[in-house]
Amino acid sequence: MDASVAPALVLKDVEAGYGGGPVLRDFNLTVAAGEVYALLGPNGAGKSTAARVACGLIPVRRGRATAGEGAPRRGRIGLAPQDCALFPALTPRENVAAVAALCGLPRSNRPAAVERALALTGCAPRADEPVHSLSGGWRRRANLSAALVGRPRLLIADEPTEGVDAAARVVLSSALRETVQAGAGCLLISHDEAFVSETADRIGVLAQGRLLAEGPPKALLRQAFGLARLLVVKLPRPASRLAASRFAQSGLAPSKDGLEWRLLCEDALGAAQRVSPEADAEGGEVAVRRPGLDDLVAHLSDASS
Amino acid sequence: MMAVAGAWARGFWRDRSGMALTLVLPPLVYLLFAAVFGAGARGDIDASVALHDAARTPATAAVGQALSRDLGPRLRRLDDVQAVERAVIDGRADAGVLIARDEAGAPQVTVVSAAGRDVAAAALQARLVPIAAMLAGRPAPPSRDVPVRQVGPQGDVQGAYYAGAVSVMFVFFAAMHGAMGGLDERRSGLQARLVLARGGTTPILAGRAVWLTTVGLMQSAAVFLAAWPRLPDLAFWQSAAALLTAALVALCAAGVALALTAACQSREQAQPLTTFVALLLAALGGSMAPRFLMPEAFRTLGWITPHAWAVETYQALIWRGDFSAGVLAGWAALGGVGLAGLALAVMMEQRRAAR
Repeated sequence: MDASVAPALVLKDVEAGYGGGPVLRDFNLTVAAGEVYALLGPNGAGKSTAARVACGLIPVRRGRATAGEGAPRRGRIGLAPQDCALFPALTPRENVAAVAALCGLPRSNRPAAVERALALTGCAPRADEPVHSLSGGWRRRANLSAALVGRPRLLIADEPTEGVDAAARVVLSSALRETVQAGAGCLLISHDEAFVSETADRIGVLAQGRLLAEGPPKALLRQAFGLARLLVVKLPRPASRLAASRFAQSGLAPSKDGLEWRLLCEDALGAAQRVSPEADAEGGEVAVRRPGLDDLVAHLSDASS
Repeated sequence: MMAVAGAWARGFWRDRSGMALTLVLPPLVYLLFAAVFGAGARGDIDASVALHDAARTPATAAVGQALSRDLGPRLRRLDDVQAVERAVIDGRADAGVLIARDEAGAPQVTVVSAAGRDVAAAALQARLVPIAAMLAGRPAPPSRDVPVRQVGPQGDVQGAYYAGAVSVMFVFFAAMHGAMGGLDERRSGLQARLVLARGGTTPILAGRAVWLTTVGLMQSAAVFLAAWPRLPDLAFWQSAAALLTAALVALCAAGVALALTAACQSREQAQPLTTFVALLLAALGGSMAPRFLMPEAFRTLGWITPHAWAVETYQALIWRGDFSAGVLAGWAALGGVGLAGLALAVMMEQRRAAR
């Protein structure tokens, strides 16, 4: 990241919402040019509101929202919404071309820009079939292509991997990486932990309209969990009284439905050995793993509430 | 703006059955309306008549023969008074004729009518006045005391009227239906994408308005093409002015439709609302029943609808060949409502995004 280049997005002390109380309060977020910034959080945390503020689709009540520097220009922000925002009767190529025209790309440059955007997401092989006949994965590719065609200064991608297979996920990740390498900033909203891990430079964890933590994913995980590992016991049915007592004695905490017990500690392997007999007797599975981004979101959300 | 209009046009072109219905249904309905309502207003009321001749004299038999020549198979002879009354009440006959003897033995003619058959009864009564006088041995009243002088263009005034009336109705229906595509675009996020790409809501909605106006113009052209044989000979300026009127009608419909759909959250809301408004405007504005047959209060009330302005402007231009201040007022009303609707739609969409 080059500090001399203006950030792609700055939200400074933002308060914003819909009608009633604010959804975002004292919200600060900066997406640098050349980085993918993933916004994570539980449902209702305010991620979509933050994205809409970033787009300028809802005004801020207080604070400041700036996308890029200088005067606003057409196509400055590329939006790939969660739903596939495409004309269903048109082909991906026609959809992308329509957005290119709206972005104000010169007529002579449009064909090359359209081909580039389609190639970036790997959509070219199905680019001439009507969108309504395409599968969800191909629509996702076309959806992202349409957001990329105007070479936006800021790309906002809302759940770009929903319903796509592993191969498409790799392609979409590299499309986002190539886009930011070309100088754009990307605000990514996703529940796809693996996709965020391999794509995002920084993440921000949001809960109840406030940013709880932000930084590179690995650094945040290290900061939150240190060397701790996560012990997870999954049960086919709620534990018997005896097993539940044993799990609790070992420090495990049950989920709301009682089908999962968890413990975060540095000696997770030792704890696993202690609870294995009861878990086996209950027909459950025992696993020890590094905590992931989902665990980080849950950990920070729980701590804040 | 043109990119949005182009995208909608491509979608329309690829939905061939939808396109056919949009462009073929209006002329078909026009032909139906013109055939059904045109005959009545031309004076060709094909009334059916039930006759009972209780007098049975050579003179009254001659009356029956005269009516039979006049009405052909629409005259039915029945055996008694009750049968005639039942036929009129049931609607098998529009009116009845009873010929009986009065106390002096002279034949007396009575017309039998029922509620809602006043026009048929009055027409039959007028035909029977000289016959009744002849049977009573009186001289027939002179029919030329109040002469009739026909003015204005000759031809199928109803055919010309309904060309405008039906086209306006369908242009509004199509615009309402088409504008609902915008609700899908709003729901999917496509509208937000387009607004961001173009840098504003106005060009996106203006693009939709351009397309809806184009479809409306095509529909009007289809209706007037079907109506062409029924229209009087038109000068070039009349055709050009009618074309401009059709464009303004389509713009008006597009503006109203975009404003109504912008006010709605979903298709489920928009569907009944737009259908209700389209039907109400059509009924009040004279698209269903001719305005000149409406009671004065409704005729006045009709001016709140774009349909009335459109119908009257078409009538002035096509039927009367009259380029007057009324035509300019009609154009101003149609264009003004269209642009106001578009502005309202832009404002509501911008406010909705901010909610």
